[in-house]
Amino acid sequence: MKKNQLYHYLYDLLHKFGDKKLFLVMRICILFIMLSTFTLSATVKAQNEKVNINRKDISVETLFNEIQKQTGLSFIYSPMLTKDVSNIDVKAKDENVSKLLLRIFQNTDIIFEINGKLITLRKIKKNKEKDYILIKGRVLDKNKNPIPGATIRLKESIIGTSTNANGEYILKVEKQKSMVFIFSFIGMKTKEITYSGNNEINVILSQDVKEIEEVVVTGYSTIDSKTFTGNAIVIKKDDLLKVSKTNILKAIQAFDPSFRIKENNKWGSDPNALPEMYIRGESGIGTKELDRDALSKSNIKDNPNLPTFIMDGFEISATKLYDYDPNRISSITILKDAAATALYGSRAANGVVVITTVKPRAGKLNVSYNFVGGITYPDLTDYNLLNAKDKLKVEKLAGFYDAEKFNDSYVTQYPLDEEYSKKKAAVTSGIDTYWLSQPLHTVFNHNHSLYIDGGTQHLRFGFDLQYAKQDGVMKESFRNRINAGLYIQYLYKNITIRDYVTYNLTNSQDSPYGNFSDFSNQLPYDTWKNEDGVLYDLIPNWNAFGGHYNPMYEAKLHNFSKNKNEELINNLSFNWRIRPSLLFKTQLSITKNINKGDEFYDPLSKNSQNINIINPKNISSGTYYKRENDGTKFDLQSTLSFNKSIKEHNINAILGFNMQTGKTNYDNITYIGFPSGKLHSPQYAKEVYKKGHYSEDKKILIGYFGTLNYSYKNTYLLDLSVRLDGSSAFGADKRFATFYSFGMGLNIHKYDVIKNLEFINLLKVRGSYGETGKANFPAYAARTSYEMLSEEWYKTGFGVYLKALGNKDLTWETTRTLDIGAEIELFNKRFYLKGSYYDKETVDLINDVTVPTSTGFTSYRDNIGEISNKGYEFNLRYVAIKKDNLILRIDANLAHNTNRIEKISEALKSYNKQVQDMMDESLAYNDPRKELQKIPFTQYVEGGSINSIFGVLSNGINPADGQEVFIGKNGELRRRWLPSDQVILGTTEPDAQGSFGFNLTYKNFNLYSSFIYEFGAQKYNQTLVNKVENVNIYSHNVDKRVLKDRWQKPGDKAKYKSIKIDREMPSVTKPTSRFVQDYNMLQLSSLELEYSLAREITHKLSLSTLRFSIGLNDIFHVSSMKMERGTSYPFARTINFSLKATL
Amino acid sequence: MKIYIYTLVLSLFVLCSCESMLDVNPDNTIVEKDLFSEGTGYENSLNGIYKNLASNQLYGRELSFGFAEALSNNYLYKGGGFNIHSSYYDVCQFKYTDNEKTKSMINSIWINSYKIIANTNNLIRNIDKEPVTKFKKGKTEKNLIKGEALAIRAMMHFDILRLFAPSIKSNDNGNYISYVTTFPYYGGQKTENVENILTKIERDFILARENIASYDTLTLENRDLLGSYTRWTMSISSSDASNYFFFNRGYRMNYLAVTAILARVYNYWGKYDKAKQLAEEVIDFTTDGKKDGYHALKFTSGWGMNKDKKFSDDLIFALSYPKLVSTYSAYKSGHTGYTMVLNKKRVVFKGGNSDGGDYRLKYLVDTESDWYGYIPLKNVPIEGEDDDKVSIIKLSEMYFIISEYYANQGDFTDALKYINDQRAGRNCQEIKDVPQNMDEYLNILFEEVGREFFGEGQTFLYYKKYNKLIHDNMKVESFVIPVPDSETIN
Repeated sequence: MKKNQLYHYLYDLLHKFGDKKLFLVMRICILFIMLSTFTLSATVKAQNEKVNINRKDISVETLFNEIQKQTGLSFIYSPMLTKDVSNIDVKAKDENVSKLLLRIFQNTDIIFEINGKLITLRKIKKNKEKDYILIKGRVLDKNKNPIPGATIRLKESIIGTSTNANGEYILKVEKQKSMVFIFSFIGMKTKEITYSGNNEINVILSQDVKEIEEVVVTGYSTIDSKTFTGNAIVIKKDDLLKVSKTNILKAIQAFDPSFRIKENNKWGSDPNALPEMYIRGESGIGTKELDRDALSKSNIKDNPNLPTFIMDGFEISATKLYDYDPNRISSITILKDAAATALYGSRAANGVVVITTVKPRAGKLNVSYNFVGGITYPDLTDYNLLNAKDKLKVEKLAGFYDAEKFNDSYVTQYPLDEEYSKKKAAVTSGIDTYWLSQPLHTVFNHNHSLYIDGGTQHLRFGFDLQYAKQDGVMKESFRNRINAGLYIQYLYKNITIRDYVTYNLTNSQDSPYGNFSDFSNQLPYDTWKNEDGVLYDLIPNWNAFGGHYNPMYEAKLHNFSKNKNEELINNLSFNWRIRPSLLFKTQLSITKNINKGDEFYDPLSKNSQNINIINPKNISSGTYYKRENDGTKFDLQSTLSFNKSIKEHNINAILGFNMQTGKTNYDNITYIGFPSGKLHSPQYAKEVYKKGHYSEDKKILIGYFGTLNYSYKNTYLLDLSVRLDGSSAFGADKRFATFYSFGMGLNIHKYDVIKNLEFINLLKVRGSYGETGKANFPAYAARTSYEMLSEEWYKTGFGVYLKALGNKDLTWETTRTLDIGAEIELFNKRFYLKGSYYDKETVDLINDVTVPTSTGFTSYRDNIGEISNKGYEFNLRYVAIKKDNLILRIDANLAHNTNRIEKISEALKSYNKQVQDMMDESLAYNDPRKELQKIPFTQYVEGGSINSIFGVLSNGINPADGQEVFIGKNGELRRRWLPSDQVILGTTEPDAQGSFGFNLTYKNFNLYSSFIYEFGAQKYNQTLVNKVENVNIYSHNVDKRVLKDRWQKPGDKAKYKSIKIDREMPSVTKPTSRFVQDYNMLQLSSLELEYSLAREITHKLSLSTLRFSIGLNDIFHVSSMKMERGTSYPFARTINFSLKATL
Repeated sequence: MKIYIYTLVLSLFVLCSCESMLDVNPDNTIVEKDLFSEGTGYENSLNGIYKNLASNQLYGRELSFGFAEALSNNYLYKGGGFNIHSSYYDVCQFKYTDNEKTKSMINSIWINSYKIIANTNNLIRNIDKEPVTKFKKGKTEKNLIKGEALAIRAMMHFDILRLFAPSIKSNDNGNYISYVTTFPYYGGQKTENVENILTKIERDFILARENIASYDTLTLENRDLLGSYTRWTMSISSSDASNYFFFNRGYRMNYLAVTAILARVYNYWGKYDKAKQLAEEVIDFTTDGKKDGYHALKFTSGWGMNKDKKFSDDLIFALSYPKLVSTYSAYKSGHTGYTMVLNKKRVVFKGGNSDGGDYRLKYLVDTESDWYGYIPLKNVPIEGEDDDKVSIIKLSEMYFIISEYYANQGDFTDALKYINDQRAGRNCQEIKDVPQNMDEYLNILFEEVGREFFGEGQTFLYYKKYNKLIHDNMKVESFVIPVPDSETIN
């Protein structure tokens, strides 16, 4: 009683002050004090206290006093609150206090709360209709299977939930006049249902095959593909995964015939050889063949043809995408023409690939796990080497054991006979070493991806983790990746803040077995260890003392070559929806990359990379190369986008700013002299051979851009883009350049005439023209810069010295693209065809220009030459069967490109001369450059192509003497190969290339196939040169064709030159038309069978999805040319098993 | 709300509208505009030029004891000398283009020389536009830097000319090299004949001499810096010891160096009188400015030479190359097949006019290992002594220049006198028999030159100057080294 009075007193006191805020604070304080004074048991009982009251026309105060008397419960309230409630009649018999109060305040705006022995009264906020209702129901698919994870959202609000494993949901919403609920699920058509008073809403969602296809993600905005005039190809996640579950880049090839990965015949399926790729032909020259680093596996850095990769708005490296988990990808869009790419301005000329990743969904916790296991085994079908018996036969037939055939009077028959019989004995005893298999093995690779997401509409999170183990088919070569990411999204009113932080670790190692060709060259009657099983350091010679190189010896030493790449990326974005039609977006991405390379050569190694090879005069050997790159990149972009439909005008406009800065430090150090192969820590090194070579690379790019996508009645379409880009790579006068594009389109199917023809769903014509640029070259090329000579000062102080000869007139390389095309969709979307024609002209090509050395320099960068690429592309989709349970879809595409060098500079002409001089040089027999003379080098001539094969026309092999006869430029016959007679013999660019395949769905089964083809190209058959004609038959294993097709005696009409008796010196066949062959190819890149468990079964397993699949990758490859594929590293075939489970 | 949007859009663009943001440099590189924004940038550029002059490709090896010396045939190339894998093996036989290694060595001399020239050209081009206030010592410093750059440009062209073009004596009016003075230069300048190039060299040297004189000769304090001891040190009582750029004058193109090298140019050109005049100025130069005062240059004493194998007292100009000793060591040991052994037939220390007391015999060659010849010791310092000096020009050459003047006048008595003066400085006895004709005189001169300049790359050029074949198997065309392909590729 006293307590109650005290509260009243306090209340009045506070009320007098009239400060409501203070009142509130005080009240809370009091509440807390009170709460702490009552015991917990009292709290439980309080609500069940019963009262007996039967009175009429009493005041609230009276009632409360009565209740307090009977139960000891106290009230806290403002008298102002209850002033409208008076003269109440109360009739309660053994009634629960809370029930009673509820009854009394039923039709007022007063609510109460019971806390222990304290009852608080307060007012509900003005909204009188505030009333919660519970909506519940199930979301099912067509087959009445529940859909777990489907989203249910109240339209125009942020209130929503998602379904559980049974497809059930419960959503609590405030009752409103009209409510529309939106039901959605990935891959399903979104459904909207208006609330009609029924609190149970069950929904059936139907499949939506083209949901993602209908929009084009440009990286800056998402545009309805029907109103877009640019040329883009969209790849959905599921389709991508069907082609390859492990290699994104390879998979993209199947969807766009113009996106091509250069076949790397040398490095085959080496997991560490990064693919080189281009879109719509090559337009830049970059590092010329002669200057290329022979040891490098790919040419990906500063490659002038590499497309730009954008992931979630930020530029990423091709390497990052190569190592990325395909399961994390939501869609890939390839932007090809100027209208689609112009927003990327100076980075757009090679095309842009926009990747979006999976975003977390709100709702209960989703856990999804994906496993891919693969058996990878080497593909040696293109190797045609001789076995021991046949090899010896070839040697015999070649006359190696016949003294008369030697042009050397010192050679006598006896030792030859002895050598032959020794070999013969070995062959008879069963020695037939299969050298090819020695460095190879079949591997089992596995890949695990885990994804967890969930949260509320306000705060969502997603966590991803991937571990991928990828061993190569050459022993001990691997590339292992660990990727982890955390995504957090916070929504407050009209502001969204997102942060995605990812960490990637790639560990890779090259095979210590080195070059595969070292094994394919070995003689089959040689062995790599002696009878006791001890490894030879040199394989003994048969005819003399000493021995020759044993590749197994090198492999068993402690040599290694490892690389570790760590990357931490943080993407932060801030979205502010200022108005429904106006969105402001700012994104900042920070990338930190550390790359460490460790290469070690055992003290016993005979590899040329081992600097001080061990010998009696030099006992300290072994070399350790340590490399470290450390890079930081910032990428900031802000955009203001406007999106509104006014009557029949649809406007989509963006204004933006973008800044990129990047800096990389390089540090190299070389140690020599190690105690043993095992003790290889640099700690043990005798000395530092080469002090750390430190260098740095820095670049800044600033861009301002604007774009407008406008459509009228969804029929007349217009796109305009402009971007002003500035780069630190250019001289002060040429820093900024403007890039632009415009596109127009017409949706013919919107005309009534066509609309009435019901079988046409889509008929669109479009065209675009624009100018884009590229600047794929090292920074500072444009500016005269000085190098700091900091390692040592001159006697009179610190010195600087000219480093690069700048060119302040250097301008952007620009590409002008015209692209026109049409799309048609017929028969209820069952048939779709898209065709486009493009004309891409690259002017002001940037390359090194050789200068006379009296300038003090050898070269500088300048704009030289023009290259054009013209071509057409077709994409076709046909749904051949569409029944309830059975769907058969056929996809096919085709592209043709013609590359032409329109104009070249003096510098390229001088490069051609350099190539010709190199070809003509007479070299000592052991000169390594002899190898180069066998290869046709590209030369640059106007009217030719970047892919031309150069060589001299051949008139075949002279039957009289087995030597080649050449045809000169004017048709004269010659016996000599003259560099000036070289003409274009063919081009490696095919007449057409593309892919085709089908997708068959039957009930829960899905069968998918994808083939890649090309035809009409030529290639230089290097195998015939290296393994048939130029081979040293005595010391190398050879191709089976060596005996059949080579000239042996006068009168032979042979394809290949005569076998030289001289054991040591094979002839050098310089590029000739004899070895240029047509290349037509068909490859099965993927065949996959997938089975998804029915929902009833998965439900029982408490899972929402469970999917199995088995796939074959690169399982078959046929071509019109018999050539060894994968000379330094063989190609491989893969059988994949995968499992996907979602909780 | 509107105002918000406007500010937003505006801030978007204002944020980064300044173009200067695009001026970025890596930490180990500097753009010329930034470099030359301060006077010290010119000092740094000049230091960098000297440092690169002393590189292996130039005076640090090839233009001193390496390529240029191999040309003179002072080294044995068979039996105890180079083996056939050494690029010097072909050089000794004047085979300039047979072997890739030799070709690339010559190419590297060429390109590095022109790179020095490009550096001087950019320095000169920029300094001309600068106000004198930018420099610590004002006009004097500006002149000094410009003068040294001009002199280096001229000297570099002179040495390219001497190697890659025929001598005046051969009366060849052909065009061989070009005199480059512009930057940036992308090629295209015409080559000129020897006479024209020499005229341009002379013009640069004269201008350089005037510019350097204003620092080196006008104050007594600075004249003193050219003294035989102070030339090679930093220590000075003066208060501005922190300005180390202005000391160590012997390591820089000082006034005496410009004068001496210009004398060398005139001598090569056949303008003996002008050469003599300048040579005398060098010999007579006193640090106190008095006629019989303290001479800046003098012949090094025997006691001095015992420790100082570079005879610093009579060294007018040397480059500092701290790695010289370690670079040279590869050619010193007897096992490599690259060993540099002096050919006894060419570097005569026995018979003829040689002298047993010759300091050069006593201190500069190793007579112990004279199985095939002598091991030169000029670049092998005594333990504990650190010797980084690469000799460019010495006092002895001034005596030869004066001597050659008299010889070309037909006055062989006076010509011999100056050779004897030089011999006296090296502790050799006087030659008594006056030569009767030019041939006899040249025999004496070449013998003396061989003893004096071995390992310094000058001997070949002495022969070339007079168009005298080094040995009977040599062809006169071998005096001209072919310009490398890299120059003519376009």
